[in-house]
Amino acid sequence: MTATAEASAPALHNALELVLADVTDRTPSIRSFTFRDPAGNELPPYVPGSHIIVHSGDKANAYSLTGSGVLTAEYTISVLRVDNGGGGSAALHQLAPGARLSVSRPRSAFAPVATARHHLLIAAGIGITPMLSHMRAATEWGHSASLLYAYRQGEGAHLDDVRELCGERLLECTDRSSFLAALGVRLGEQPLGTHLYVCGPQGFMDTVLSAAAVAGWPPSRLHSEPFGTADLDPGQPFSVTLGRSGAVVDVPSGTSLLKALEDSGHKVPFMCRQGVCGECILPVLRGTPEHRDLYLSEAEKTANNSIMCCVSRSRDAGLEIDL
Amino acid sequence: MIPRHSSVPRPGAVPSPARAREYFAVSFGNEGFKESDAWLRRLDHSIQRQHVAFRTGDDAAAAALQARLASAVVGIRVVLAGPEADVYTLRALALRMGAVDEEVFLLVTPDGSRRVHCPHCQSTTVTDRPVGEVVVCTGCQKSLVIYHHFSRRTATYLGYMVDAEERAKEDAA
Ligand code: FES
Repeated sequence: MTATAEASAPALHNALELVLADVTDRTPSIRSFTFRDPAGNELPPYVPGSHIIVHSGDKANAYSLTGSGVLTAEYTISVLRVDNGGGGSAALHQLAPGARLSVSRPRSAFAPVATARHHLLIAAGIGITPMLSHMRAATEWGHSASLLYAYRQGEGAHLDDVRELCGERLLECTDRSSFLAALGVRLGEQPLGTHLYVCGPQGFMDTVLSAAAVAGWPPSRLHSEPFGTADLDPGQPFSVTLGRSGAVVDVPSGTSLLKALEDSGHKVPFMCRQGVCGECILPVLRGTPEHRDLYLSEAEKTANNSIMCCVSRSRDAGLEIDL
Repeated sequence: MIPRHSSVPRPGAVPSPARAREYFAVSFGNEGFKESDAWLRRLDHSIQRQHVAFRTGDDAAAAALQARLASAVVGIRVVLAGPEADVYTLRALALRMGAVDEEVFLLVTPDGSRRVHCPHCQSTTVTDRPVGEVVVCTGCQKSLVIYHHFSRRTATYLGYMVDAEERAKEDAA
């Protein structure tokens, strides 16, 4: 039994208690962490592109697994230290092998499309991590895939890995103009049946997705995985009605719905406070949420039956939740 | 009456052109040709297009589509215009060649023809009878009711044997 440390985030549901087996520096700011089962058991397998949520200190963050997902003796993630971020990455960077951590089971939100004839992977910076997983799986299964990797000179994480893995299938770009040129060419020469996957900073993904749309790629061929805690805008103020008591809670701009509920004395389970873990889900009775999370699927977002209250807000004045 | 939630294709609003790098149209018959031609005219002038017209749906039409899609790159859109049976047959081919729904535009012209799949001998019978009526399967001569279940994959209506229940009772007796 491990003692439960005083923490502001509750324990993960159904989590795995793992031991940090290895720490490797990839670049001056990117470090890889490998977790194993303390008893040496195999870990649950996962779909390529899956992420885990790592609980360290009082923080919980989502990180992409970099393996192919089969024969999973270990989970490996690569973490970019963000000094002015939420503190999760800095806390992780302090850990030494032997540390015990609570890690969620893998969750798939960025899976390869089984029927794709070719997978075009596009990554920037630390966005390489899910692509490594995709590429490894494609190689193992003999699926067709190629990778376009943009990184800043001297800061390319996993370069050796992807070079060895991809060979000819890799195109590296270290400046914006050569990337844009390569992107334009690539978007115009993919065989019908190709699916595109992009991971990187929001601005990078926007560039790729809009270039793809201009080149005639339909939305169902485009898959993106945002990462990090891109600061969400503070949002418009709104108020929410609590279905059970009829109480109305005001949510000012810059305050999350979760925080407003907590401040008014309501307990809502939460963990990541970034819209990735799924803990803070609340049923919506009425109104239209402004979905800003990474947890709900597109279909779930359109259905408007639930809201991730740590990041999402309301589009109209009539939001009512079951609380 | 066709139930509201059946899979039967219904002539709906004409789809609007989408952003694309090129359009490849295959049409069947006079009506199909006209529909397809008018639709392609709505596209921006800068967009490449190609229109191949056939009198009826046959292997030549399928071969033309297959040849074009085999070398196509993402960004292409396929326009299929003509009778339901022909249009859906080629749609199924386009999807097998890697196209997704959003890349295939269907302009169905009413000619009343439909393809009926026989679950007993697996053959397909072309008929102009409407849904709900009976057709004799060209494969096994069984009488099939044209059921309101349309397979978009095979472009056929499901047929079921009109007296299957009667037969079952007789067999049991
Ligand atoms: S707390 Fe993790 S999704 Fe809201």
